[in-house]
Amino acid sequence: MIDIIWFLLLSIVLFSVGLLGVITQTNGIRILISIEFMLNAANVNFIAFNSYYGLVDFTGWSMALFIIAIAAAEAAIGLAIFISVYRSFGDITLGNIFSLGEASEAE
Amino acid sequence: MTFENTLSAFLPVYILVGGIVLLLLSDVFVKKRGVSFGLTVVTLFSAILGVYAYDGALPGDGNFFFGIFYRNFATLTLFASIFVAFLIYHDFSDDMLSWDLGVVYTLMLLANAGGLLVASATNLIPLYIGFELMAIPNYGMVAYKSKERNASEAAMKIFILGALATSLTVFGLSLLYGATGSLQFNTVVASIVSDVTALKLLASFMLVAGVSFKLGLVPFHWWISDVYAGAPVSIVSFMAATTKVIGFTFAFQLFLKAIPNWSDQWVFAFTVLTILTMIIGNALGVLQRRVMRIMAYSSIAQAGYIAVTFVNYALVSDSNDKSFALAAGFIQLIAVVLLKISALSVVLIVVKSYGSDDLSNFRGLFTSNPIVGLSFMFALMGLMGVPLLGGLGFLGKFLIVLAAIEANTAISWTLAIVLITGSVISIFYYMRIINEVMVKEDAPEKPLKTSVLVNFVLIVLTLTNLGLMFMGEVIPFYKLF
Repeated sequence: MIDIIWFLLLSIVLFSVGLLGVITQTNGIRILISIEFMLNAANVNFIAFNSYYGLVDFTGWSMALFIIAIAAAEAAIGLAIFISVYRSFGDITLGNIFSLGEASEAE
Repeated sequence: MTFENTLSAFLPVYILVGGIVLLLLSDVFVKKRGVSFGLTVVTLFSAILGVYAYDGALPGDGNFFFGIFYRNFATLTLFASIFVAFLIYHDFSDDMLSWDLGVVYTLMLLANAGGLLVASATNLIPLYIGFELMAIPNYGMVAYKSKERNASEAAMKIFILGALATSLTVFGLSLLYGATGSLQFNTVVASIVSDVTALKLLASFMLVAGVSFKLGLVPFHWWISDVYAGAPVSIVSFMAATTKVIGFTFAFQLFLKAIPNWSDQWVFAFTVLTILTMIIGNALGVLQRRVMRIMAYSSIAQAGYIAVTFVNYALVSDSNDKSFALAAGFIQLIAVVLLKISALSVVLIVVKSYGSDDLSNFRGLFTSNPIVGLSFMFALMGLMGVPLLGGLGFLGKFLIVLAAIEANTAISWTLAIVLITGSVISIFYYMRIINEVMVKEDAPEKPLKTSVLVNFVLIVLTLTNLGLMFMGEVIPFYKLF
């Protein structure tokens, strides 16, 4: 069996890639993809740890299933919000649409 | 776990789901705003009654516990939502969309069902699902007025930040599962499976960061003021009251019930975050010109005051002292619900009448409409924490400081002093609003457009806030939990 540390390493790399994506990307869709990365990193952890602790119960697996379902719901509402933003602004790039910042209101 | 037990334990959730079905049906067939509104209020009221239908755990099941913690927090959540329903009815009155008011109410009831799950769970799976059931409808509610540019932009911000917070929390939960081998509170508390400090530290760090994003603690706070400024006012009152209560329920369950014996990992993080929140949140509020932004920073600061409870709870060892620390946070949470909803309903009236929440629009509010002006002043004094006139707002802060002194360590004394300093800073911006409200010159010419429902909300909330000040006479605080 592969040692648990490799799964942990994989999930931390996935999570860091996702976090970096959320911080650096400006396109809404790319941010959504990055968030999926982070959620799936947690899934890798749950499944790996469940196997590590032996299959006496399926806590980790059921949590992973719920996370997949919730990620789908989140992607659905996120895309709906992006569509409504696109209708009002014609763009979903974060830097271009912000009219609410405190600096822009002061002008 | 028989059918009757399950039915009576989850009765409020079933009531809420039934209410949702009726609302959607009435949206299709009846199409009357009053019917949707009435259905919502009746559903929430009966859900409050349903909360008291069952006591204790389900037989043969360790995933839910319906004790006093559940009853207190569930009642507060549902109670806050009733008043939010009134404000939504007033806010969404002259829209093209107004006939399908039922959709907003459906989302609100779903969020409340999530809150009930969060308050009753003793397993991290239902806890997390309930939390998401609150968060996802919240994004939809912010985005609901899709014709307004500001609202959709605010929705995009709250969605991205909320999803980021969710992923941080989930990753923290997965590490917590790795460190303990279970997600049930009992086994998590008892577990000594892993003593890897690095894993525990990383898990606590992720959980603290995720929860602080949701609660809006500095330095994870900057989305709050933009979302408050962009979203419809009634939805903001939902976020400042119901969502805040559910968020704190989640955080209390997670940190105080599931991982209390990891406290050496998270107490320090919360100490730093609360100190930053109380100072920076209040200091940024001083600079603002729009009342909605002032409300946002006051919301951040109030979250900081309540978050002191985490540290207070972790630093005392006696169980009576622990319940007292939790009760102090809970009372401040009640105060925030009452005061924030009544302050925001005044903002709602002004925005509806004059079209903007600029400070100059609040000029002469006291002379033009004494009921609105007076209750606004009471709400602001409560948020400030003025003794007697502030009502519960003072009592909550007082008890939090008292609980900090009870813990009697260097950390808690620092927090008590910072809390008082923060309140002093906050007097500046609340006083600016009160000053404008009292001034008579240059008041806007147009009359205020208020409604019976909102006036009713204002009067009830103000009187409740003042009356609850004497709750200590009826029930000793450490018996609240």
